[in-house]
Amino acid sequence: MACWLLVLCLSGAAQAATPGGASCTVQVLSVAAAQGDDQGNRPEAGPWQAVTLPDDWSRRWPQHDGTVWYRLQWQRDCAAGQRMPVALTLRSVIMAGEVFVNDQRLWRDSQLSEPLSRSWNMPRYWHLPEGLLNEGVNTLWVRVVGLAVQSPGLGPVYLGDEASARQLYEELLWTNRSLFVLNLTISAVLGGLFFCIWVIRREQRIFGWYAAMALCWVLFIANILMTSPWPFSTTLMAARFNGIALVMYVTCFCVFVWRFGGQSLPRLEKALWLLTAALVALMALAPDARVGNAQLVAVLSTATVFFLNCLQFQLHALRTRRPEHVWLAASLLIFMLAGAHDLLIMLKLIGETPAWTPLTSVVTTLCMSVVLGLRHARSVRRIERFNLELAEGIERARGELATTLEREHALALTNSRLQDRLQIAHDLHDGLGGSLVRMMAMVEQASTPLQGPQFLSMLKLLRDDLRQTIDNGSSAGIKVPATPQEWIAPLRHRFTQLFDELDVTCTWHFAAQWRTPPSALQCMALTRLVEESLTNVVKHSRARHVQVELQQPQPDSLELNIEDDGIGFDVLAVQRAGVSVGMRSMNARIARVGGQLEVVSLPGCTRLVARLALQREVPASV
Amino acid sequence: MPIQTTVPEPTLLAPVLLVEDEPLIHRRLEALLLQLGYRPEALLFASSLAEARACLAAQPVALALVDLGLPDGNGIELIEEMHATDPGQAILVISAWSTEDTLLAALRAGATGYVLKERDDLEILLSLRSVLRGGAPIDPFVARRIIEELRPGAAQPVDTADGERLTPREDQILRLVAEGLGNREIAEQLNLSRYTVECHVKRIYRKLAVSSRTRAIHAARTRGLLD
Repeated sequence: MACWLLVLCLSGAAQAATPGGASCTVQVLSVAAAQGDDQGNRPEAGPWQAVTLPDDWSRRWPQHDGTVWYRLQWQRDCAAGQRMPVALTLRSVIMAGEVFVNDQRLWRDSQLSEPLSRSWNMPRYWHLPEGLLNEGVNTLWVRVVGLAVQSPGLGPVYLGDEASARQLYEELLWTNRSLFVLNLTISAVLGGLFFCIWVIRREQRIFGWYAAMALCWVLFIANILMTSPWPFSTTLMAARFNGIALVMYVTCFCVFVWRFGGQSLPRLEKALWLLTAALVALMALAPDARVGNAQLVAVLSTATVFFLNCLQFQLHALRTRRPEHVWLAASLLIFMLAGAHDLLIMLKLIGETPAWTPLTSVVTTLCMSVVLGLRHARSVRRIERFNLELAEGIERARGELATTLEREHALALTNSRLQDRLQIAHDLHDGLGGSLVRMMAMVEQASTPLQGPQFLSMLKLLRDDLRQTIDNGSSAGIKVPATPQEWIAPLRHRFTQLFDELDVTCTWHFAAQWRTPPSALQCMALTRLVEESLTNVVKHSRARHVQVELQQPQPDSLELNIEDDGIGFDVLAVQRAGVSVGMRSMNARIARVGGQLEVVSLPGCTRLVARLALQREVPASV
Repeated sequence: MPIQTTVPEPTLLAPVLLVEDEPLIHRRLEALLLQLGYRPEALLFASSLAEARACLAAQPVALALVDLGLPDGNGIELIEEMHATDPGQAILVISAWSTEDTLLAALRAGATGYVLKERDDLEILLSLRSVLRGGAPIDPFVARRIIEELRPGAAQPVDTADGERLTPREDQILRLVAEGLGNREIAEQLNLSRYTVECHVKRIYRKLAVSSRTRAIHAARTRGLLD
């Protein structure tokens, strides 16, 4: 079909003879054709019919597949005594052929039986050796092998001086071959490029459709450029394949245009695919004798679809007025005008002029690529802008988050202050409050009025409780000191300074590490015990030596030992008299944290031992 | 009181300025000072910042006992002023229920020690006597805080002179204090005299005051308040 299309499209000025140089011309005397015999031999006495070139024998012999011989008789018409070299240019031989000059073979296609070589779009040029030529009438024999369904025959033949024959040949080479090579290369490169983009980013369907369209176009164009039958086993198979490529091309083109324009036409698309399937089936399954008709149907249907689509997109672009749509519409318009022009040539509705499609399709392919490129650039720009917006959004969100966090922080701070206050209230209630209540009870229940020293002792106890509450902040917040030495350090320092002033020696034995750390409350109780008893030693004992010792004989118990060599006191009497409220209070306090206090006092040796049971991993709770 | 301190000591610093607004405490401290051997005429009294300033303007004093909560302001202001006038001035803070931070602030302002009002008379008496002998009271918690602040190699403003950091010896002493050792024990352990240990502690206090001033200047510079 395509060969047929292009033969008709190609520049067709039949130049059987043209004025040659200034002094010589070549004169074609007659052109005749006759069917060859079954072996393709020249019919010596066959019925030669006069024809004009270009010739399509299927009009004369519609069923004839095989060989037709063309006979051109010509002579040089020169001024006296002059000889001119003669050159020959053939535009096309459909499909394959052989050329003789005066019975001497000049050239032969490599395949003159199926699959045939494809010389249908291959211009050829020869310089005719002087030795082959006669003085008078010469005969040019061209044997053409073709199929009736493919408009077989011989294209225009030019005989003349070398310069003009070569010039013609070169023009033909440009329009019939180089332009298509260019077209194919550009389409293949752009198709490949967009294919790669699509492979990497499958969401970009448009690029995929463009690549498919370009691929079909390349396959279609390849038919024009191929000169060997490979890879097809028959000429008709190549023709069928070519038809299918065209159908697929137009289908891909339509889908691409719709996707590009953002048009959603589900029913139309369905119909298009049905039509495509039908045409493909037609091309694939038509009987050999009907392939030509099938091609015509396919070409006309696809051309119709193509033109309709180009037209509808003009309207679409008018509606959307988006620059890229307008660009595509413009390039489609060029496409459409060229296509229409060439279709009209093909249908012989206008005279034979050079086809526009080969040139315009290069231009429009480039245009479409530019449009796609623009679109790609635009989406990249959109992404960049989006990134910028995203960054701003994140910045804003961070700002808001910071504000929120600040507010939450402030709230948490207020809350923790409130908690602290509650905790202090709790501690005051538990520690100082408890002591107060106990002492009030003591005063009330006392059988004899209490004396000043007793009151003083009570008040001091309260004071020390208060100091502990202040120093520790809150019992829930304090941590147990990491080592026994760290725990005792403040007390040790304070009393060491006092003992130094009083010239009392004091030894401290504390392990470097806890075996099991006491709870925070136990720590506080022990602290108060040490403070209280050492204060007593300083005030009352007149001791010369004091020893403070902390031991953990078992991992789950703790023993605090305070010993002095002072005058001692009557333990029972002191407790009964209630002078030292502090010591009694210590007793109760140690008991409350799960321990017991043992006091032994003799002159020269007073000893306090507090034993606590420890619990592992248990938070302070009493 | 089973203590034999009524013998006047030859090294008493005089005169002494007592800045205290509470009459009862005032009387208590006065009694303690008299017990230490002071003559009544060696004691000067003020019950507000204004009175204290007037008194200081009239005559220099050898020792100042300053309460922090005064009717017309915080005693720390007074300590700063006195320290600015004479960096060698002995200043004791008499603190009521103050927290660790308040005490440290007073030491930074230039105080050379402190006594806690809440302690028993005997304990205060012993502290005062120690100070009058040239001792410098220090506590494990104060020692720990100072180590954190003046540790050699700690991040410091660039323009801090080396003199405001702890020497290795001072660092050693502070660590022993932090462990709870008394000055005498420290002296024994380091083979120093107790007097030397106390000198070290006083020098540490001076560094603390200088360091806090340097830090203030540095802060002011970074905020553009000073050129």
